[in-house]
Amino acid sequence: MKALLVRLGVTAAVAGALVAALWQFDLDFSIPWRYRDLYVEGLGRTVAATGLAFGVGMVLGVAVALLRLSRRLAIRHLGDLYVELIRGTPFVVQVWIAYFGVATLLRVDNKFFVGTLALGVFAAAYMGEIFRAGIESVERGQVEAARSLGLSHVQTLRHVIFPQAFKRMIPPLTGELIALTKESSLLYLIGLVEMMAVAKQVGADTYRNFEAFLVVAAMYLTLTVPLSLFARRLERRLKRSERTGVHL
Amino acid sequence: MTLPPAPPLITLRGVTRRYGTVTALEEIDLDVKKGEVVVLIGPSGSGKSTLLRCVNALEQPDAGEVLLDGERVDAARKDVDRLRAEVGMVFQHFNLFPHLTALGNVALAPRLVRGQGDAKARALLERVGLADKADVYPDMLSGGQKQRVAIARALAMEPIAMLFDEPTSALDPEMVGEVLQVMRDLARDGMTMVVASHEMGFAREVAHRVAFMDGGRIVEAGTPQEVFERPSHDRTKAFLSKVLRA
Repeated sequence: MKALLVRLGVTAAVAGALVAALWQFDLDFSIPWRYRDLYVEGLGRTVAATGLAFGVGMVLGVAVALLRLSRRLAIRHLGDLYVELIRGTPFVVQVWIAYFGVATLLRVDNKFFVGTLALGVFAAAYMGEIFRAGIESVERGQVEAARSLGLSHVQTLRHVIFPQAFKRMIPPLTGELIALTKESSLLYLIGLVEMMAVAKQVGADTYRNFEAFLVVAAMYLTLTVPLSLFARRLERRLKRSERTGVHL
Repeated sequence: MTLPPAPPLITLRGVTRRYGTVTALEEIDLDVKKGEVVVLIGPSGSGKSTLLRCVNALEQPDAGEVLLDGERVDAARKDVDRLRAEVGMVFQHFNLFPHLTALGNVALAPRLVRGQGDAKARALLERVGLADKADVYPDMLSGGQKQRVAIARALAMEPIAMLFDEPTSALDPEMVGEVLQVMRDLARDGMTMVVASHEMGFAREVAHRVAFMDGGRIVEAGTPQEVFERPSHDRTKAFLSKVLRA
C-alpha cells in the first residue's frame, strides 16, 4: 500500500513537471481533436496489426523453438539461421524488403497484409527464443516420467512440457507484445495508416507537429502501460507461486 | 521367499553403457522372473540407476540387449511407447507433474494413451492410502505422499513390472516407512520388481534376490541371506560393513 502511494506520488510529480514544461509552448490540442476520428482509425489499425502479428509470431515462434530444440543438427541449424537473420537486421530494413521484394514477388499489394506478416515474421525470432527458454526450463525428469508412462513425444510436449513452460513464458511474452506495439509504428513507412501515420499526416496538414505527436505518444502509453503493469503483477505472483506452491 | 520356476520376464544380456570414457555398465547379465523382487545395492555411481533406465529405454545400451517378456527393448523401435508403458518407473525425485493434481498425475497416461476414465486412477490412489488427496497439487504433499502418488501413477498403465530408482533416498527418515509399506504390499501381490535401494532392511525382508553392484558390474548376486550373511567378495563385505554399521 505504501509502495503504491510512493509510485503514485512520483508519477504525479513527473506528470506535473511535464505539464509545466509543455506550458511554455503555445499548445492547442483542439487541432488534433478535430482529427479524432482519424486517430481512432489509426489506433484500430495499430491494435489489429500488432495483435495479428503476435498471433503469427506465436505460431511461427513455436515452430522456430521446435526447430532449435531438434536432435538433428541440420534442423537445429535451420532454426538458428532464422533467428540470426531476423535478429541481425533492423526491422525497418525488413519492412522495406517485405514491401518491395516479397510483396512484388507474390503480387500482393495489401499493405496491411504485408506489414502484419513482416511484423509477425520479425516477432517469431524473438518469441521463438522465449519458447525455447521456457521449454528448456522444464526439468528433464518431467520428460522422463512422461515417456516412462508411454506418452509419445508429442503428447509429452502438449500435456507435460507446454503447460509448465507456458506459465513461465507469460511475462516475457507480454514484454514482446509491448515491443511489437511500438515496432508496428514503422509500418507507416510502407503507407499503412496506423497511429504513427495519422500523427505525421495531422502534423503535416496543420503544421501542429508537436501536438500531433504528443497525442500519439499518449495513445501508445495507454496501450503499453497496462500491459506492462499486467506483466509485472504476473511476475510477482509467479515468484510467489514458485515459492509457496500457490497456483495461478 | 521362494518362487515357482518361470521364464524370465526381464533379461539383460551383456548390457554395456558408456558415457565418453566412463563405463557406467559393463557386460551386465541379469534375469528377473515373473513375480520376483530383485534389489540392487551398491555405492553411488555403481550403475544401479543406469541399469534400470536401460530396461525402460530411457538409456540405450552401447552393447548387449534388454528383453522384456521376450521383446527387445530399443529406444529406436516404433512401438517403444507401448513397451515403456508395460514397465512402471518410480524416480528418486518423484518427477510428479506439478501442474496436475494427484489424480491428474495418475489419470494422465491412461487417459491419453488408452482413453480410459478416472475410476481406476481413484482406486489406485486409494490403494496407496491417498484417496483424500486426489484433488491436491503435488507441492502441497509431503515427500512420502508424493512418492506414493508416483507409485500409483506408475501402476496406472497396468505394468507387468515395476522399476524403483532409489525411491526413498530423497525422503525425510520419518516418511521412508510409508513408501516401503506400499512397495511391500506390491511385492506381496506378486508384482515383478527391480529396486535400486539403500534400504537394507527392505532388501532383507522383501527381496527374493539381492545383487551387489560396483563399478558398473554385478559383483555378486544371491538370496538376501547369501549376500548379507555370507558375502563372497571383499568389495561386497567392505560395502556391507559400511552400510550395516550405519
